[in-house]
Amino acid sequence: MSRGRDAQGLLLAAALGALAVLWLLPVVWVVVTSLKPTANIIRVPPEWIPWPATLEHYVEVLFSSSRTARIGRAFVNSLVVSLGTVILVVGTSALAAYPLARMRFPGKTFVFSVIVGSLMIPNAVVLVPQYVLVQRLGWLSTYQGLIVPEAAVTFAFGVFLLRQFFLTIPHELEDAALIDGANTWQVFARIVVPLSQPVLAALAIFAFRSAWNDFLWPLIAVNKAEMFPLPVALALLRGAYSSESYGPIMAGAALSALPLLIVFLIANRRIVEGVRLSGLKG
Amino acid sequence: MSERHAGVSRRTFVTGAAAAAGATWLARGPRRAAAQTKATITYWNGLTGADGKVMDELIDQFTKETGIKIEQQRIPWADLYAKLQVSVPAGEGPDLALIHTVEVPHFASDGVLEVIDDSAMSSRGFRAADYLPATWQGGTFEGKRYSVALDVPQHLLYLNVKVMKEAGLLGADGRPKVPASRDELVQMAKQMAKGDTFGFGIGTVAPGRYTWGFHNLLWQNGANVFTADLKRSALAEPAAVEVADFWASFFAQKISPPSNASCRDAFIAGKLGMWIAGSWNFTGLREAKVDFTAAPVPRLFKQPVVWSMPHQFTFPKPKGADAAKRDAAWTHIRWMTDHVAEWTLKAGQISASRKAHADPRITADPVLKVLMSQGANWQVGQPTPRWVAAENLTRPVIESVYIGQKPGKAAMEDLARQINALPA
Repeated sequence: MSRGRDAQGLLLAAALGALAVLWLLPVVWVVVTSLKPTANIIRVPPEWIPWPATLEHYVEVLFSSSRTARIGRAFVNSLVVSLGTVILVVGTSALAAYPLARMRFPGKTFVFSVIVGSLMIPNAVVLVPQYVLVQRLGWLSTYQGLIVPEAAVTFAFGVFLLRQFFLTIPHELEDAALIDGANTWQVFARIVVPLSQPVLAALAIFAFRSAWNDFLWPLIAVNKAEMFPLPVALALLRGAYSSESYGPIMAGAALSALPLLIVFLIANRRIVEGVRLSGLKG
Repeated sequence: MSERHAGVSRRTFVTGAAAAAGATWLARGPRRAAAQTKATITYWNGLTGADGKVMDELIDQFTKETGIKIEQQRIPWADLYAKLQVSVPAGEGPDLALIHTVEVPHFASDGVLEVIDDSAMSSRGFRAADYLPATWQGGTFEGKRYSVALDVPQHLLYLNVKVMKEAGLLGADGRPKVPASRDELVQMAKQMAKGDTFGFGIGTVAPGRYTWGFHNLLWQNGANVFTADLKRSALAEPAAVEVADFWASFFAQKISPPSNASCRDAFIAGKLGMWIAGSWNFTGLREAKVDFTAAPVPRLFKQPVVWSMPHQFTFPKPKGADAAKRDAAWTHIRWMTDHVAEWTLKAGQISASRKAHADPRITADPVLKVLMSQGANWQVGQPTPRWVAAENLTRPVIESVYIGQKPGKAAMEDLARQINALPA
């Protein structure tokens, strides 16, 4: 029985290991290619060890004076936009989700239905009205013009996710705080938010990832090269008509994946916990 | 407060205000003149990658010579068109944009582009006689002009010396043999195809979906996407079906790479012998030190037509008229047309204007010489706003033919039905 279980465990580990290798292979290929001199990139058979290795592509994408590749600046832009989006999404979603989960007021179900219903509207449909709105606000090519619409995209999902989680928090905890003299805001800030850290972390990651990877909105809403975020700046590395420069593209891709990787490594446990507790896969 | 007001008579106030207004107007005069000499214009194009760097150099030179600054925004072509479609109606478009010829009809009919009147062209020295007909006509739609052609990206035949030598396909002069017919091309390709080496490919990446290659073959067979009156699709006609059947034979006979492969990478790696692809590839092949020669696109059907897609300068409709910016934009178009030989030499694109064609630096280059020799055979897409939408529908259908999923006739009939259903 024990031997059978061991064999089963080994089999499972081997399958998971194979799956991990399969997932990691493209990532490794990106890093390996980014370290190869241009002449060695397209070589048959392909070489998995980048020798001689070079950092020339990283230098080019980070410090090139060419107007096609302002990756360093784009990196900063993406960080500002993504962090700004996270703060806005987490703050507004939590404030909206709490009354929807815990308070009684007329039209509550309707408001929740409208918010959840908005998840079904494709982004392309709102693109033009959103553009006109941002233009009239004078926000084109600004950080707020990127952050607010990005946050709006994730807001509905955030409200849904947090409401589901807030519903699982025992009422007794809030009742006890109210008996102790806390007002509604204090209950929210001192009881509900600290208890919701895993799900808030999960939402933060979703919002960060969404803002970090978005391409279409920044492409449309930014008219100044120095305001481009990473996905748009990376697209500029691609030659017109697919005459690719693989080295800089791979170096840019490797660099752009770093922050997401770091955030995930730091918050890995909380993300998994948040998803588990809220019963959602995102 | 009221006492101070009382101390200023109406006459004093009016005189003072007039003096201030006059001083402001006088002060504005020289500033406006300075702005005219040093205008800054915005310029959107899809010249990402290596050709974008060449454009940067030329624009720097232009700014030094004229004092006009250009703020470029370069984004991949497909994204550029989406951005133009949204930004221009909102009054946020650029002062100047470079687009492909086939985009002119739909942008013109959508009101995205401004009409260019003949006097604006002639007063700046742009004359039909200086251009080959395909490039000059490409800038018009329904009798009105919307653009001025810069250059002519086009197809040509690349021949890989290493692969052809291994297959015994070099001539007595040591140069690769050039196929003279469809049968000869297939036979030579079969001779080269072995293992992971292919004899013939068309398109840079994803050959199965390469509409520009498919159009080239259609045009060679006297067929086209639309009928001559542009009202219906002509793709179900026998000439188009014949092309589709030939398209299907590439992969079925194992002479061409798989549908999603990169012909460019295969050619550089010495795994592809003959390659019909865009002129924009040859500078990269030289950089990669590939041993190759170039030849005109062979006549595979009835006529030796060569696909081309001139880049066109256009004026997206602005929010308000700005004569200084428009003048500056015209100055740039004129300057680029006069200096287009530099663009040709560095970016590898033949100029639309004939003036640079006699430049000895260009005529001495073997590849540029081939490109220029094709001038009489250049053809562009049909001038209908439905062309781009039809092209988007074509991509998956020709791929299904390429991989043998659908017979040529059925696929073309289906595609024609889809195109006919597009809104007029």
